[in-house]
Amino acid sequence: MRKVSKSLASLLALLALASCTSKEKAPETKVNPDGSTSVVYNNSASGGDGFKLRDYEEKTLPNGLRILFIPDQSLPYVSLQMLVRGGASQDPEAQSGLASFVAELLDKGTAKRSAPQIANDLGQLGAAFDASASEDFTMITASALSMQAEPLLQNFVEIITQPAFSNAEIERMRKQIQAQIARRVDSPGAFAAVAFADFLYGSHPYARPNSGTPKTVSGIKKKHLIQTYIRYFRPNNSILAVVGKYTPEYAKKIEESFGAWQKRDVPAPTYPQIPPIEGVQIRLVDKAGLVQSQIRMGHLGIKRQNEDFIALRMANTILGGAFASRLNSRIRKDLGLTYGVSSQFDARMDSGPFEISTFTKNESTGQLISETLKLLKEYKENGATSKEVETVRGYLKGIFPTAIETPEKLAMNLLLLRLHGIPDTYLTQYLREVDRLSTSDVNRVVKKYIDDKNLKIVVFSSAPAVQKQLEAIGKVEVKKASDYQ
Amino acid sequence: MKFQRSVASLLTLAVLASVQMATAQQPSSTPAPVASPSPATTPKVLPPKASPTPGSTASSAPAVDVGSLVKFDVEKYTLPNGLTVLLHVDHSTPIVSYQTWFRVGSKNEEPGFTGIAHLFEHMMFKGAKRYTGEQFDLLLQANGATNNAFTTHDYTGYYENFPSAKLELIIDIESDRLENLNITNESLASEREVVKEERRLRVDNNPMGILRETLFGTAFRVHPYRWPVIGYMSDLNNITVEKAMQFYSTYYAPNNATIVVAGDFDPKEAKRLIEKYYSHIKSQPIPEPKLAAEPKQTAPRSQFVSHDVQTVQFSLSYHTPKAGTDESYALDLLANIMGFGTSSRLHQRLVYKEQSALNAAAYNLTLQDSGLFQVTVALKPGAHFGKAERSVMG
Repeated sequence: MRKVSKSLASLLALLALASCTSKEKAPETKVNPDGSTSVVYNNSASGGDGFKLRDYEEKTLPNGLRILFIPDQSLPYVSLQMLVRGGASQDPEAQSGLASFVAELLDKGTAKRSAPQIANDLGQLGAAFDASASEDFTMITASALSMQAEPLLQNFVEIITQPAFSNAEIERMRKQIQAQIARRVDSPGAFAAVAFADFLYGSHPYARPNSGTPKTVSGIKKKHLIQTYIRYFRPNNSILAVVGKYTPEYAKKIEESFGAWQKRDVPAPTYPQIPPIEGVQIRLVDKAGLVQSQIRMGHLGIKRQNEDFIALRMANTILGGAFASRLNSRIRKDLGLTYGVSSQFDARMDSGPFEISTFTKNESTGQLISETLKLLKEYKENGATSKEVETVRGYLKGIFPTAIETPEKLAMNLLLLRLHGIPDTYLTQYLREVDRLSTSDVNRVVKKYIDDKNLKIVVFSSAPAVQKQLEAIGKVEVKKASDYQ
Repeated sequence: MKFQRSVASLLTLAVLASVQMATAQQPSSTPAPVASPSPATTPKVLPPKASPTPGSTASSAPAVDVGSLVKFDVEKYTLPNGLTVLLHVDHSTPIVSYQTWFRVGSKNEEPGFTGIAHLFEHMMFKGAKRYTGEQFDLLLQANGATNNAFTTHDYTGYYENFPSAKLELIIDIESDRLENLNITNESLASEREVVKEERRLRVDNNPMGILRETLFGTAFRVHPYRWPVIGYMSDLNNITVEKAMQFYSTYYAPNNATIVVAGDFDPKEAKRLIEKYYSHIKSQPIPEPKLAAEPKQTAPRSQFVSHDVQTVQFSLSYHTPKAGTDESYALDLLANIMGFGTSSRLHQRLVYKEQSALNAAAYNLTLQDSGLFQVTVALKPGAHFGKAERSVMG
């Protein structure tokens, strides 16, 4: 393959776009006889540039559950996606990994059925099921053919509202999670990402791996799991998207099935302050035998709720967000130092990381970092050219339809916009916004958000092979890979 | 099924274990150095018992012909020069995917020059005559296109996804590099280093990549499937501009290519443009690959690799019928039953019941010239390899 394939993280970054000033009339909210409310988003007139967002409807049940209905007749399938606010960032430090543990246990037994029964029943339906916690939320997804829509829904509701958290399944899962954590060091890229988050965020919860550490996972008790579940898995803390080919009766059944779910006050997420970075700080994580350095460098980025989101997306695409970017042109194409180099602002509820991610053979580790710092400095000082801005404009407009080409992708966008409290006009106005922003807008955010002088660098490599090269760049702190176990 | 009777003799096993674990647990053969896949024949694996008794069958779903509910129209035609074209129209989103696949992969390579199909694939992005190296990536980007390529044992594919209005530009670019590719010493030298970094990423610095490379090198002894698609590090240095251009002129011809256009386009217009840009390119004889017939495997083979890893991982595989045979479809289904998802037998036994594995999966790889049915298991730290292996085989 010629290019490194993009991970889910960058997909979400693409999907989770920014707020922009709405020039449209908001759709009207209708109150239904049962106490629920409905908003119909008829997007036929609101596209721009010949682009049309498909229609959908949002209902809010009396218990606070928001349901997005996104019909799609093209294939005989139904997909259910539930977003629950909270996520790994809300785990207490001593029980880091809790939200992820809860997500893993949802389908491992309910009040009615055992874990193998559920696995077998979902298998018999030909259904796909997944539940996982990320920093700011937990996502539970299930899909099957339309003729299995009803049993799929029964499974989905039971798994989400009646998980058993049995002692046996907790212990089984604890060992499973601990083994996964132990094995992380065998995947150099994934391990470097964990080490970088730890270095960048210090005592902020974004520092901790979502699945926790061996110590915290061993200390998680049944009561912690149940408390976390009871606190966050509430209809008024959740948003459901229903996608695919289904009947009006099915939509009604979904509302009835989740109607009995009890609402409860849910604490708003909180995040501590993060101290600023001073100078260029390098941490070398050593593992003998590695022949290639995994390199992560960057600093704090932005919250998703940020008015510069799209301008910064343009600025980052020029720097390292696409194949013809400055970083890739220089580090890969001109110098042949790597197979992949990219930069990303991962916008979250709190300030996510700005992260340059790459790798090179041990021998050229120092050279790659020096070249990258040089390039960052040049970009910070002089900004982008108007030709680069025109190119990125064409690129972002051209790839926009791919972010919403399937109704499931649209659903994921709508869920994340709701998580972050950004109106859907973000999507309908996106193309106009990309057109509106000027070279000086882009260069203002380059100056504001990119810093080549104060940043942190993690290198996961064989220390004897790279330490001297790094010391030529700055002060180096050395850790062992085993320090992370 | 036929293959089951001789299953033991078809078995190949590759194990990746940490140094400590390997010495403690390895049953018979000595640890082999990494990336030297000279298989040690150690018939240590027990023949399989009868398949486990199936679990209780859940209420079966109503019989519905799902295929009848899915509409998927494809128009296929061939130009006089042998270029095959497939068209699938879908106006739901204003984008088009344009793909060009060539019937050439690592199985067409020769020893000493492994990896040339893949390295050459990289060179296809270095510019041609109408669209030169400097402008290639920027031009695609400015036009809202994303693009990439992939090389396998059997085929090499290139694609662009782009806004509907750009169809002619993309066809122009693709036909240009099919006909007029320009490779220089400089661009090859720099891209060779890029590919070496790709190899380090996927194999040399990646335990799972080492396991996979060892498995193929052990399962196949003479067939070109024995070497990795990305090639051996030392062979990458042997590939010169002359060698790359020879590869290009041998395999990159219209009669060795298939174009797929899918998405929001007018098929009449697409046909007109494909005719306009490709019809003058001449067909040529394509040499058959030298596929040494893999001798029948008569005893199990195993290979142990010692590496600094936290958990033992192993893959075992059986030679199975090639893609497209009736049995290959049955084997796909079998792989799903045995090792796909939490309801599968392997997961239920090794991960859930015995709790010895972190994951256990089965996959039937169907290549053009052979199949390879694989079971891959990652054990938990401290779990006993021999026991887990017996559990898979039992």
